[in-house]
Amino acid sequence: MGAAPTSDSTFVVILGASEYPHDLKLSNKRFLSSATAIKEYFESPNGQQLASDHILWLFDSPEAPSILDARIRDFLRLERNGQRPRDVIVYYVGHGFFDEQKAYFLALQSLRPDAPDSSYRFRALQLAVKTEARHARKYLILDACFSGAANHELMGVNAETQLVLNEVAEGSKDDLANSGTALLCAASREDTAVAPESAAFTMFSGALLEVLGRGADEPLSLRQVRDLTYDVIRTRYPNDAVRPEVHSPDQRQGDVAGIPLFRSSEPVASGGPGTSARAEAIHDAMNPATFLSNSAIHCVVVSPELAPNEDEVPLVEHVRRAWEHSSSKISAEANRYRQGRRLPPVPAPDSPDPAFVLAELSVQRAFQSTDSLISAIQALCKAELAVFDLTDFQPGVLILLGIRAVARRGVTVSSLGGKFTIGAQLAIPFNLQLLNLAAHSQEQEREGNGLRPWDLLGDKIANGYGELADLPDYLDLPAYDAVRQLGVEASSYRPIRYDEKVLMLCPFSPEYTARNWKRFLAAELPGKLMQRIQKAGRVVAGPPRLERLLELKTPRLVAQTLFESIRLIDMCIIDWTGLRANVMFEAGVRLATNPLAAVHIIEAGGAKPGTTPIALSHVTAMMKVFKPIAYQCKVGDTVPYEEMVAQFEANLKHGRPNFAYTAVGTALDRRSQPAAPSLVDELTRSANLLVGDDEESTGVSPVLFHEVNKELVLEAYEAAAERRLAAWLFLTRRYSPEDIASDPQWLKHFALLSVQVRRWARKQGRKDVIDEVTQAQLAVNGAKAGGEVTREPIQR
Amino acid sequence: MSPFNADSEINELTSNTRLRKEEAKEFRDDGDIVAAIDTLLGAVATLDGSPLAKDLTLVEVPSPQQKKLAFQLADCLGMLGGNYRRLGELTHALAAFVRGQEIEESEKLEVPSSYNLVNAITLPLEMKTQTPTQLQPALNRAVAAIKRQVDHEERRNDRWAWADLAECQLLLGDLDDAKDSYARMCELGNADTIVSVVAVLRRLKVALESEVQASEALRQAIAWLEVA
Repeated sequence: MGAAPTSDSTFVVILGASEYPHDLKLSNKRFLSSATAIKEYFESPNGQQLASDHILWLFDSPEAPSILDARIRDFLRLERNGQRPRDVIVYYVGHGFFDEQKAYFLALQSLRPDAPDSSYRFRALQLAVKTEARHARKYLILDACFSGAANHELMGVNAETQLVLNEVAEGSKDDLANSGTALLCAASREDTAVAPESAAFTMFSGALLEVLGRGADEPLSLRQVRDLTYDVIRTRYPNDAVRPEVHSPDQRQGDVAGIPLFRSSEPVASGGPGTSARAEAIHDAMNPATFLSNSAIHCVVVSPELAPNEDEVPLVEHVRRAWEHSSSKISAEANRYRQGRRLPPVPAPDSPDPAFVLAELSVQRAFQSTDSLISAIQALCKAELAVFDLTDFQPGVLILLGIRAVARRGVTVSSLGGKFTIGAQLAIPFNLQLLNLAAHSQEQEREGNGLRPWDLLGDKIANGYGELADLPDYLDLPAYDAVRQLGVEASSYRPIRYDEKVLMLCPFSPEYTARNWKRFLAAELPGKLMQRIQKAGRVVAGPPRLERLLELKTPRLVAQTLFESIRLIDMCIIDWTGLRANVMFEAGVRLATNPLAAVHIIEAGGAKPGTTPIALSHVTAMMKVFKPIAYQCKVGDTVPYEEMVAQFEANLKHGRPNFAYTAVGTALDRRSQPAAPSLVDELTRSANLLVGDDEESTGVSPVLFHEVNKELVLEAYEAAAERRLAAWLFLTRRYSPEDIASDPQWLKHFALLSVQVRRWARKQGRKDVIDEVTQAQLAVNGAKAGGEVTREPIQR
Repeated sequence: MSPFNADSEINELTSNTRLRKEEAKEFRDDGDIVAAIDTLLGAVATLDGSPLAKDLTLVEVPSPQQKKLAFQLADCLGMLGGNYRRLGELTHALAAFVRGQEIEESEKLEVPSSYNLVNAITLPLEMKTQTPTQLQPALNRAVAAIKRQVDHEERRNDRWAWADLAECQLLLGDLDDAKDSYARMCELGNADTIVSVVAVLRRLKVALESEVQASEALRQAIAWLEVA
């Protein structure tokens, strides 16, 4: 098939239209962004590296087909530095249609309904290329939607595609030796398949760009590009996937579609205008560079081991699709949350900055080493949004979930794949029974519009942000507050020493209780501990209490007590036997909240690699990182108990916080997670929870029992008014009029609170307060005078 | 220019409208009705200027953002009508109520309010352009609509819904039903609610002095509410 393609001898024609002035309903901005991004790929130093005079950009040209035809011929006829085209690529994106004779036409800007000659006949394009580049290999890439024009009523999409293939075959009949023609064609009849609401590109071009942007050691052939592109399409659009076709009609001189042509040395920068393109790449959550953007929504998807089968779509793809479908809703709610926290807004879709950075955290990589686990923990702390795939409740995923639960009050969505659908019965670990789970199984995809995984995820993410904005105690995972709010006295935070109590995180099955717990652990360990304590010269009345969750002596809610104990009790033993989901989640909480970490133990043979119900490589890796002490349920085997005590004492002596605790504590995003929320925000939110600032209009009271207890309602009114007064007083005393005037968020609070406080003061007959508010308004408006004054102060 | 984001737009509009409504209430409390009207006109203009407001009552399937805007717009129009009425500019008041009524009556917009609807019906009584008898069909329709809202929809705990329902029932001569509705309103509302409702009934009583039956029903309702 001749010499290999080079950038000197490759020429590209880009055709199509995004605006159809004579038939506006056909206009589609994704066609333009697709064409622009393809051009960027061909020009990019990381892509095809073509000089600009090797690319003919005819996209959105208003010229007549005959003029365009002449321009293509001129372009291909000219030599550049003595070089004639050896490889010619024609890329078309837009609508296409067939006339009465079933001839295929490309709908350019000149298109007029009922005037086929206003469109470019595909055969004419082929002829122009073939005539002017007779010795070249020709690659036609058609990203066409057939929905735009007439005469396809009797044909299916496949039949339509076949007609185009026939034209290509016809046109390439007399190709010269060493040349040839290949077609990569992605045609769809449905506009909906062209692209979802917020995607930057068409379905096909978006996937093609991802493939070309991934980077590859060797150039890819058209056929390889087709296969990879289809993979991307299938995962992104499982219901509407349109399979691209490759056709290489005359292969006497070899298969043009098999020639390595498309280069990509490393990921192509942006992939065109708009930020959705950036969301289309999946980043590495463990690479700190993933979190460099100051304003993007960083979303980490935690993936379990064992890839889903071929037909299943990984959760990360559903999350990507959720963003594509619901980006405006998610951005708006995220911005409401961010505004309250004084964080930068999510970049708008036309911003050069990414709005959504999607990163994957695979459980296998997370546990490869201590360092990689630290990176994984840092990612979980930095991500404003995390989505966990809890399919099969894999041990490593649950440890990471436990860490996330106490590390960040962000938005965390948990989802199940496998066969799970929303509402189906499922045995859920005790600690996670209150989770509001999503589902991303194939069965859930079939539940229909509004219930598909990406619909569920998009809604949960957007609503999560909204609730995070409004509710000071928002939680989507257990434990966050339970490990923080232990009491109001310092003694409530006193660590519980190991001569007093030892916490055991372990299974509760009757078998375990009978075999491991009663006969060995509970029988052996307290005595061993007492011996050590006495050896150290301390006087104790008896052995320390070894407590499981069941033995905690309090009537308080189990979960609350458990998490508090996990934080406070110095010596914690985690039994990995059976790799129980509850235990793994609690292990994550412990590692993140107690500087002394834990003593990990396991019954010999209880969960060794290869003996677990599913042999998971990350479990093997976890064993290497945490090195659980193996014990046997055998009389006389006391050495492991000595080891348990010794390991704890080593941790204690070592004195430095464990790596997970340190990683969480130092990676906390304090911008979004300060030690406490802004006082004004806290007070106004608290007031609005008592009496909504729209209650007078809606006539609905948020107070429970409001119909039957008027005194309660009155108290709520008074409490809300006092909180608003307190917020106003704090704002005006803590900040100068200039501070307030120069900060949009303070100004907004100040404006509303001023009116609310003055209305209250009038009812109370507090002229002094009325005067003070008015004076403050005058001062703030005076401070604004240098800037734009939009309203006069309210004079009283 | 950034692309239009309907969610951000409605968040901004809602926050801005809430402030304007609070300001208007303050002007009203202070007796400065003209300033209250100016403030509300500004709020209505801002809402009307949003791309979300385009063909609001004609949209086949309104978006959630459009529904939120419709609520704010109807609320502002109701307040605007109320302030015009205080000023004695009844024609302007009626125009505001009628516009608000159109929004409230659109089932697709799902506005949880009937304030404009009821006032658009009853203001002509104060204007003496209609009699209770002439308004009977409209009052019956309003009762049916509000009953549906309080019986089956989200307004069963909305004190204003019960107040609106009671007012219509009263004007239709259904004193017992009206009392039941007012009783529910009293359960849900507070003293301010009753003061506000009694003021409306007093105004109507003055306007309907010559209508013996209606006037008597209003008198009884006022008396009943004052001891409630």
